[in-house]
Amino acid sequence: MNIKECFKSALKNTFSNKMRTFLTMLGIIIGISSVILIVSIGNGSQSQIEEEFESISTGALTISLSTSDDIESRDILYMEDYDLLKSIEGVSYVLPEYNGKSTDIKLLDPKETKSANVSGVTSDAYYINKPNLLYGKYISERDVDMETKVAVIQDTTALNVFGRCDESVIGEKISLKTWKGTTKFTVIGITENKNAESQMQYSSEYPEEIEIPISTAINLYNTDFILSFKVLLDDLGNTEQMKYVITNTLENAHGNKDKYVISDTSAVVDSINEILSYVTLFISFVAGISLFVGGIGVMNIMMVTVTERTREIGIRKSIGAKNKDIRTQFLTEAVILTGIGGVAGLILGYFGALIVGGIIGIPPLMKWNVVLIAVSISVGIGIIFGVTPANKAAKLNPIEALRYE
Amino acid sequence: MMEELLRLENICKNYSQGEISVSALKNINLTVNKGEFVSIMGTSGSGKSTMMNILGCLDLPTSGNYFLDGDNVSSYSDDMLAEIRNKKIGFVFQSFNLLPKLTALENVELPMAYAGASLSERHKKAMAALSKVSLKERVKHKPNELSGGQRQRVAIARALVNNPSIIFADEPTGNLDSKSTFEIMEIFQKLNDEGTTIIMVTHEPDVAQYTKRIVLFKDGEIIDDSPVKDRIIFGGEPR
Ligand SMILES: Nc1ncnc2c1ncn2[C@@H]1O[C@H](COP(=O)(O)OP(=O)(O)OP(=O)(O)O)[C@@H](O)[C@H]1O
Ligand SMILES: [Mg+2]
Repeated sequence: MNIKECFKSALKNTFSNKMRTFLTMLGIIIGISSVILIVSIGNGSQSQIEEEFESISTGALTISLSTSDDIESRDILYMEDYDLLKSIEGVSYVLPEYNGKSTDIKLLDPKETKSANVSGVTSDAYYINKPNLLYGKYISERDVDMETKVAVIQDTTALNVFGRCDESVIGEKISLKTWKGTTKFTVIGITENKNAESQMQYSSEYPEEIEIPISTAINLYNTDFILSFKVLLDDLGNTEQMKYVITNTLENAHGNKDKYVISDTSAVVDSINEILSYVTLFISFVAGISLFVGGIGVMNIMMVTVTERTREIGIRKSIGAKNKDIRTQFLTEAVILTGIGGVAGLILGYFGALIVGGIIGIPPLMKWNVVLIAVSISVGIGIIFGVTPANKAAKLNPIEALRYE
Repeated sequence: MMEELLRLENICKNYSQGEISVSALKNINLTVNKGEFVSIMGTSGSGKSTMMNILGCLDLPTSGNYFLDGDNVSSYSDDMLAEIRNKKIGFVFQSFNLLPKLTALENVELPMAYAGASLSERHKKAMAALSKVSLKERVKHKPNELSGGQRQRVAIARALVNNPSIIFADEPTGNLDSKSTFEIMEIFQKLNDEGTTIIMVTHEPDVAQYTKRIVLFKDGEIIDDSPVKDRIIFGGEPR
């Protein structure tokens, strides 16, 4: 009897008692669907976090003051450090992080204002933040050198301030109000607000983001210390060594020790991923227990089936079925039970993940290897928990089996 | 020249239930040649079924040797015995022993499935076997939709389908009325005429009259073994 026939007759047997089959499968269905739900939501949030970090920057190092108490004035980072960092071999781009405080911009209706986040940037920001430039151009090295009053705004800001977002906004003036008074800036570029969608939910709470040359910003806000530097390296493979070189250079210039920390965003992503994978692992473990219980249910029903069909086994043996034929027959039935249960769980889990993901705002991600693993696990459960009943059936003595009432 | 098909040498079978040991067969010696048609008779509990099960390779003797086609099968493994049951032996039971979920045709095809025959070959041979037992209609019916006589004919077709050298039948007509009994005996005689060796257990002396030899059992021993006198032949000429 070949495998295909074995499957056909096992399928027929499995579906001759639909209610019992369904109840037996239920444990596997619940187990597999919860694993799928959890893993696909976990993968979904993982990729979402990765994406978010990717939009912030890729492979950039962030250099900042350590959070210890004994920070002295000589430790503080200034624009001189920008030139210093730029001069290090292996460093391709440097972006000082400089944020202006309490700035308002005039909106379309001149009586209305809205708070804005003003960042002083160098031309390198274009390569580190990788903005999606929609119109115009980005702040150039010349703008930084000449302290020009130019600004790069976001598409959402353009709509708020000018009521439109197109080429014609380039060259328009935007007014920034600081404690010094109102300063007019010429819009030279419009970038895409990548967080527009998520900000929508909170409507106007988010401040507008405006970028101006860092030299202009230092003048405007009257402070010139830098919170941190972002650095992009020529060669990402060299990160650890470069961290050491950068720290050394800064420490030499400032005459201090252990005052700076360098973090790379990938490390943050890694640690978040690690936490996520622990959570996934833990919940999968719990789901694994439910699969185990489901497997025991399958074993129990297979034991009952073997007993019920003792006479059938006797008949089959009397006409020449070998022990292995009987074993294969019952093993196939167990595998069909758990296999179909697994596939049903897969489908149920996926739709469950779509629903749950929709509620918590994380699109689930179903990976092929997870599908493959889930199906092999359910088939594996069928084999593991089906072996004992199948062996029991195979070992039955034909005469005793035939005599069974 | 008679050709030996099977031989039992000092076969004993004991059943032990706790302290008590039942001796179901005591030193049985029996030789059956090709082409024979033997009745096994005897009182209830005399060991007839026990011997049939050993002959049919469904059970092994406690001691003694059983030669089938010259091979000592009393030392065979489970799988070797299964192979012999499949290829050389057809078994017919009093209670038919058909699989209730399969149709008559599927029941007859089943031994060939275990023999590894192709689907078309199975179908062809099963139909041939069913026509030998005069059951060409109703082959798509399940056993519970057939009469007792029809069920037994399906069982005989199943026993025949792999062209066995011998058919064992343990009270094949025990559950049948006299009309069906005669139909079955007619089929057996025809098969025997065509060369199939048959050994059957029966309680009815008139059924035994259709066979060629009667072996009489009592308390696990053979007490008589003689040819049938005045044998009844269906449709005419004695051979
Ligand atoms: N599995 C068993 N366990 C214990 N004793 C058994 C078993 N099978 C048969 N026996 C005993 O062996 C003896 C022979 O039984 P067997 O079934 O061979 O008799 P039989 O001649 O076929 O009887 P019947 O005509 O009623 O079918 C009986 O005493 C019976 O009780
Ligand atoms: Mg009996």
